[in-house]
Amino acid sequence: MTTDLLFVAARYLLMGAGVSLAVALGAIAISATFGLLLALARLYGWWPLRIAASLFVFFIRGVPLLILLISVYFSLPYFGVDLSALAVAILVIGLYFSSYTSEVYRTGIRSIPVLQWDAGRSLGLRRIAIFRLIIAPQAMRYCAAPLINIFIMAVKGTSLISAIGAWEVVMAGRELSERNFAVLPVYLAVAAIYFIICFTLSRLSRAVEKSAAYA
Amino acid sequence: MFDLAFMMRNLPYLQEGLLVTLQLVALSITGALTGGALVAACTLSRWRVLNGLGRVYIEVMRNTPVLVQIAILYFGLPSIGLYPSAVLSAVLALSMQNSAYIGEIYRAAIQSVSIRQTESALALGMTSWAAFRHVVLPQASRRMFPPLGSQAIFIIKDTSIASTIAVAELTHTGKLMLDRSGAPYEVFLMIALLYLLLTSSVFLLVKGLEHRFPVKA
Repeated sequence: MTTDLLFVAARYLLMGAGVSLAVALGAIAISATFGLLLALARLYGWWPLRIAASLFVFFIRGVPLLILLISVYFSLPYFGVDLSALAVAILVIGLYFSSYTSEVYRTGIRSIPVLQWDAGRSLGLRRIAIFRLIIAPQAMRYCAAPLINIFIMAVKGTSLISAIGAWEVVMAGRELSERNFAVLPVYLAVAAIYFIICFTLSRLSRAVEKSAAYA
Repeated sequence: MFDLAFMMRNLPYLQEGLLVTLQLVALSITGALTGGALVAACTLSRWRVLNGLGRVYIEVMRNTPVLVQIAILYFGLPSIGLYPSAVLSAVLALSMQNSAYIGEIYRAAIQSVSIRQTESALALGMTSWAAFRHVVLPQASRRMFPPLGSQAIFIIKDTSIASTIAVAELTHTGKLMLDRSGAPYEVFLMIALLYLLLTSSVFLLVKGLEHRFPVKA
């Protein structure tokens, strides 16, 4: 590749990386919040809700992300819902990894001794206040590092959305490689972009884990 | 709404895809279990260079998506004169990525066995290999079942990515069936249930193994 081609290619890939990152951030936001709701439903919910949440987690975790992406994208129009590929991507990846984050939240919350609930009770706090003021802050410390590891999985999961025609970094790479015949360098660059994002997150997870251990 | 007759009629067509998926799973798991042993041998080694190489390998593999690795092998290698088949590319990428994870599982399990166990074995006059083989490994292997099981489930699910380079596995046959029938939710419900069957049977197998070989404190 000549240098100006290299420059154009780099800009094109970075544009794609921007889309991937936006999808990843949206999906991470959904999985962080919906996962917590799932965990709360499974821990303290009304029993039909508890069963529904458990079934959701069981089903989602047993099926490949790619299958869910394709099936939701191609099935929704039959139910009268017409979403763009990017919207489906954010939604499906978010919901997919919320089943993983819910497990993290659940074990984090359950790792806090029951005695803490009793202590809060004896101070005259309501259940919600005990959860918010006593349980959640301690549980979050356990959850932070494993949650970031799941966010890394979500970032890697965004590589699949080219399968439903969304334009992002893998698709940008494919287009570049088809136009310039520089296949290996382009795909290596795509891998490097993912590596930079995920490696940063994994260092963050490591740092959080260390600070939680000493807190 | 759901056309059950359609599903029953078309289920046999998914059989071939399922068989290819099973082959991919078997090859990738075998590859990842052996590759993982090499990775763990590196990261547990006292030799600095080997140790660093192992760590770099793990970080690179864990922080890049399988899809991109498959693309590098399948589309990228021909430009330097290597032509791996689609199946080989998929199996190689899945084995490489998962050997990083499995290497860490091996390492964590081996390091979780107290150093005193090795010391006692050495004091009894065992060679360090015999101490590892007869004292450390049997205890460590029991602790590996749960994480290895969930890694196997990840491998099963990730074989679906091989469909992007036209390996005729379950996901790919599903896509073909979708193109021919135009019945997306029926087709994908069948596929999803088949994957669920595979993953939950691995889950049950691992639960059984855990029960059969409990960790003794």
